[in-house]
Amino acid sequence: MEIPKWMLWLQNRHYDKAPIREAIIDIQIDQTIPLKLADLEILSDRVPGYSERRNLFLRQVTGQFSAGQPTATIKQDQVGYQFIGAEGKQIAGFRLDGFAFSRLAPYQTWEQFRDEAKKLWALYRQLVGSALVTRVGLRYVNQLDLPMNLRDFRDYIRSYPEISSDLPQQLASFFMQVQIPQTDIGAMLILNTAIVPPPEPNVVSVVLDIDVNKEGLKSSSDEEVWNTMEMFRVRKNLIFEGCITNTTRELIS
Amino acid sequence: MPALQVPPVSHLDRFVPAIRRVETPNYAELLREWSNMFSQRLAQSTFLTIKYGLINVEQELNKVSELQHGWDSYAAEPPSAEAIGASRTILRELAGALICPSAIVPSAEGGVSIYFIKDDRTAYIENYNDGAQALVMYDRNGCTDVLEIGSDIPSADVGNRISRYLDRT
Repeated sequence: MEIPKWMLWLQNRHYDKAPIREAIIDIQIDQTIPLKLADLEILSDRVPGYSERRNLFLRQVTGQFSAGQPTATIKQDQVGYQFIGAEGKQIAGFRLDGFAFSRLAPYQTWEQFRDEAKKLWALYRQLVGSALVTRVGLRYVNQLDLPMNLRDFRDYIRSYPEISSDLPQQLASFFMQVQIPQTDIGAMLILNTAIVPPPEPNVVSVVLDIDVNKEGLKSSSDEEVWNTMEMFRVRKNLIFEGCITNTTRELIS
Repeated sequence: MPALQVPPVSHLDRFVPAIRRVETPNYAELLREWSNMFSQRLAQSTFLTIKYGLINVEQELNKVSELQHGWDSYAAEPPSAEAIGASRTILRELAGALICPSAIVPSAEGGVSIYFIKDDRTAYIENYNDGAQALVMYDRNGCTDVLEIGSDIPSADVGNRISRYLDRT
């Protein structure tokens, strides 16, 4: 990704009304490690400040959607546990195939978020030993609450579906997903943009869901994992800046 | 223009070994992959799971609030404004505790019950027609626990209590 110079000075910009609703760090491991749910249960006593434990399930559609003979079913398997702390604002997920840490709004700082994730990852690392990391991801779910009387989405966001000028431009709803390779850092950007119901009347809410991730890794180095996260954080900020306009910057400053 | 000559069936037989039946396994596979991808992306985000869950819950509650007298084809009362208001308030509390209900059921006396079901355990919040609330938890073995919300348990703790009960192993 060639980064315009004007964006570089924006990459660490702080917004007083930052629209971050959730930040997620996800690390997946090589599943050849024979981990069992009982192994993960041990973590209940080792995660201070995360008093509530919930079972974590993976729901998957199996079978086929074939015409005439629908055979698709939903399979649900327990894949781990979630531990909830900070009054429901922080969620640590320990799965058989990896770890995730999620921070809900109000988001504090990258350093606090990363350090908490590192601390929890260290607990998981003790369980999985030298298991190789196969995927790392950093995902930020932003919700922009735009004025209802907006003239054009283009005034606020720069990544959204373009509608032919021969069609009516009024949008009742949209959901767009694009996957954009970040070749210079060997990663993939999954960008979801969608209109979602607003928290209050007189606003239009748009979710800007930015997920930068890297698959196919075989890393045994935690240092490499966290260096990658740092790199993803810079990229995520640039992508966010690339998706909004100055009008939006004013709105969230 | 001469009439088109349909070849005899026996003429087609020689093609049978080469006939490839056209189905859409790739499309079906793609549909399955997309479905899994979207559900996994949604599940990974607690914010989105709760946001979309709440939308569904509020839609269902709105439908319940529009029921008319005799909605059960007998003489059931429509849900009272107090029961609907109490339901709305507790649903927001529950979203804060990161849980969404399985079903919303009106009662014939003008109340609204909010159900949470998991395996053989059920918890529900009974919102009475006067706005009072109770949390009821029961399992298939007949073990039942009833707590008055407000006096036995603060409403802010209801979400955690339900999660702990349903996730108990």
